[in-house]
Amino acid sequence: MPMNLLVAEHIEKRYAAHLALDDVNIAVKKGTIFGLLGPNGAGKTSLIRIINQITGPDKGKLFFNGEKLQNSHVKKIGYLPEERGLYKKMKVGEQALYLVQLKGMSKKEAIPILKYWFEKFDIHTWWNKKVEELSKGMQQKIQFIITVLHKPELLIFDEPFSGFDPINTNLIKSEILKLKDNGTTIIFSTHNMESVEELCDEIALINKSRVILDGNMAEIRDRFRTFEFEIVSEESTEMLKGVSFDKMQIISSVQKSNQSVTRVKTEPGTTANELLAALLPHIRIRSFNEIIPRMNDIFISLVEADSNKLN
Amino acid sequence: MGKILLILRREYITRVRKRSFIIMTILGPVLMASLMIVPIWLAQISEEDKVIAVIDPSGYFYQRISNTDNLQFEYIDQNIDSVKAHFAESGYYAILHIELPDHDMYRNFVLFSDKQPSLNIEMYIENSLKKEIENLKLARNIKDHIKTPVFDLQNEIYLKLDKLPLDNPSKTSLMHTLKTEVAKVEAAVEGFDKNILQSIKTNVDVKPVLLKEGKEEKTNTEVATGLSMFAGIMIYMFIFMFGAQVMRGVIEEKTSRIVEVIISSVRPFQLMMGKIVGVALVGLTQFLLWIILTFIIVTAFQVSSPDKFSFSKTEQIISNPDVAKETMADVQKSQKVQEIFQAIGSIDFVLMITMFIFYFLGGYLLYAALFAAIGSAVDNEADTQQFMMPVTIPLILSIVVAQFVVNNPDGPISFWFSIIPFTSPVIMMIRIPFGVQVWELALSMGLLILGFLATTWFAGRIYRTGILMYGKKVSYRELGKWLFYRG
Repeated sequence: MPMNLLVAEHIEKRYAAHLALDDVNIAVKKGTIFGLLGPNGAGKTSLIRIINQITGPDKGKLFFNGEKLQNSHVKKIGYLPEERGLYKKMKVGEQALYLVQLKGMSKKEAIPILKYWFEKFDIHTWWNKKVEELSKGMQQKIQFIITVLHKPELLIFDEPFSGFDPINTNLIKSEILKLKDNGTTIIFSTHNMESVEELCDEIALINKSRVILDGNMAEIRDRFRTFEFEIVSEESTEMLKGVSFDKMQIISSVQKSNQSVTRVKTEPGTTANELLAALLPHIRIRSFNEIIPRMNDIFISLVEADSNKLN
Repeated sequence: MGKILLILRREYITRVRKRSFIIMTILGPVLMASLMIVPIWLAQISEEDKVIAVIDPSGYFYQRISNTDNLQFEYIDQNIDSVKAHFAESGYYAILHIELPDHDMYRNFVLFSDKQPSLNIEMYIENSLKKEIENLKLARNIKDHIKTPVFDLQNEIYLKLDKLPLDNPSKTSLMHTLKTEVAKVEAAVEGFDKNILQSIKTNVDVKPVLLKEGKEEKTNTEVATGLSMFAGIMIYMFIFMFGAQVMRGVIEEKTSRIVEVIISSVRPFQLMMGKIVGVALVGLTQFLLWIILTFIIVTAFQVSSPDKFSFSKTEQIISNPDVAKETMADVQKSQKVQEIFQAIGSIDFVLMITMFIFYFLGGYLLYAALFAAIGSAVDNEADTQQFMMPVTIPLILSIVVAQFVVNNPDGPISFWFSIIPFTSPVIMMIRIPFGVQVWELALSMGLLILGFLATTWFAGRIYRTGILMYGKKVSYRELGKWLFYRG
């Protein structure tokens, strides 16, 4: 059994004069959440459309579970596009059954599962309502259900949280995590880096049609470590300045009534233990933590650097 | 294939369930049936008999204006003022006053009534009077033309007789003979009255008969014209109506953004074809329901009042001498009606309906694909205008040309327009009631099939790109590029 559920090799896609994807390679491990990141117009949607076989690549190959990607894989993939909608005049239940049948599931199979989800989200009263009678958030819930209804092996969510209030966002997040626990592989495309940090195991960052960064989230964050620490102590900031530890450099320090918050930068390779050992004799520490780079910062710095390089 | 069926079923069911479809389905046959029933009903309805008093001091028009089914003329010898004074209680519909001739000719006619007389009645009276006066003038002209030369001749003979070396008794006797002969001519001229004029009057009606495989078939050009225009306009309407439905459906899917969900499950071409065929079935359903319901309504009326709608009535009148009390004109009218029914009977309705369905489907498929392509290229209905123009021009052109085709169903315009796929659905339907050669029909049908395959291919390529393009004003150049994108 291959470890990767989806592999894309050397994908190229061109629209007239515009090169949308240039030698893109990704590998999505089974049972993980894979973040597909990138600024607007980078080529994420083009890649997602190719994975969904909406369009075909000009060059390159795709493999699903070790097999060449083909039409029979359509029913094993669930897709929630960014630009999404439903037939406004159609009834909710009828519409869900229609769309799931298009995926290749029979009506008989689909009805109990659909009922289960309707119960779970407490929306069974909507079955015979027309979509236009529902609010946008309600419609998003229905779309989520329709996407996962046929129990696909691979789920692709493109900006799944747009349009949800915080409560429903959490609901969907926990459902996504449950799906992952049940073995579903998920490709997750978003601009919301907070949710990437929360959910993703692996990521690929696409900028200007190329993958400029990919790999395991933890490793990437490790790679982009700045060795900065935040120390909260009972002493004034003056005391900290007296600490003699030559690998350490104070970046900022703020005095707040009876405590001080200080940021320090250490030389690469310095461990937290080393720093603590140097600090402990001098100050009483209330809290201590390493400032791990946020995905947001990594994203911005990489994309900006890449854009400057190309210009 | 299974997925196309799913799409087709959804398109069909949602449309057939719509209130507008149900209303159209009921309204259509009611309108069509009333087109057939109302004229017959109006003609048969027993209008109250109207009596018009005719006051003609000269007496010339006595019994000359003929009565109709519901219009009677009563010639009364009374003073106009006293009749006018008692008009309210007289029960007359109107009084026709023919004033005494002015300079030897009737010029002033007045129709008195208490309400506006109907245009039909006014025209009927005008026509009758005109006819009589024309007859009168004609008679007088003939008299003048004969009398004057005869008098001139008589005088000349007198003069010549005078100069002849004859004795007086001989002259007198000759003169007498001449006078008697002239008097006879005059009498003959005087006797040149309306009876002779009446007998001259002739109605001409050319009956076209088609020679088909050695058999003679009575036809009627008016019936063929009516039927062909009707069929042509129906095809035009159906293509427009259902083509626009396809376009609106595509735009709906695009603007509601459901399209991306669907085409992650099915191919864009399947979605397009499912929609086009689904709507075609809606059209066919509507058409068949119209025919069946119209037939039911018309039959129901025939059964409920057989005397009014029996087509065999006219035959009865002609074959039964007892009933033939009618005047010659009535019999002629009946014959005309009978001819129309014969002509309708001679039309091959099976051929007409089969061809109608074929050309509706062919023309619809050809245009619907283009309409779908237009729908896919725009973001909302308002933007469709620039692309609609070139697609609708051939359709509109075929309706414009239709009149020429009816006048000359075998001319070169008719031929070419009925062969070219973009105009053939309307124009061929117009030609069929007049009779079309088999090879022409086969060529036209074959080209139409090729035509819709071509437009479907063409539209499919635009469609698959167009449905995924949002917020972009598309130009023709852009559409051209889409044709060559790889799938």
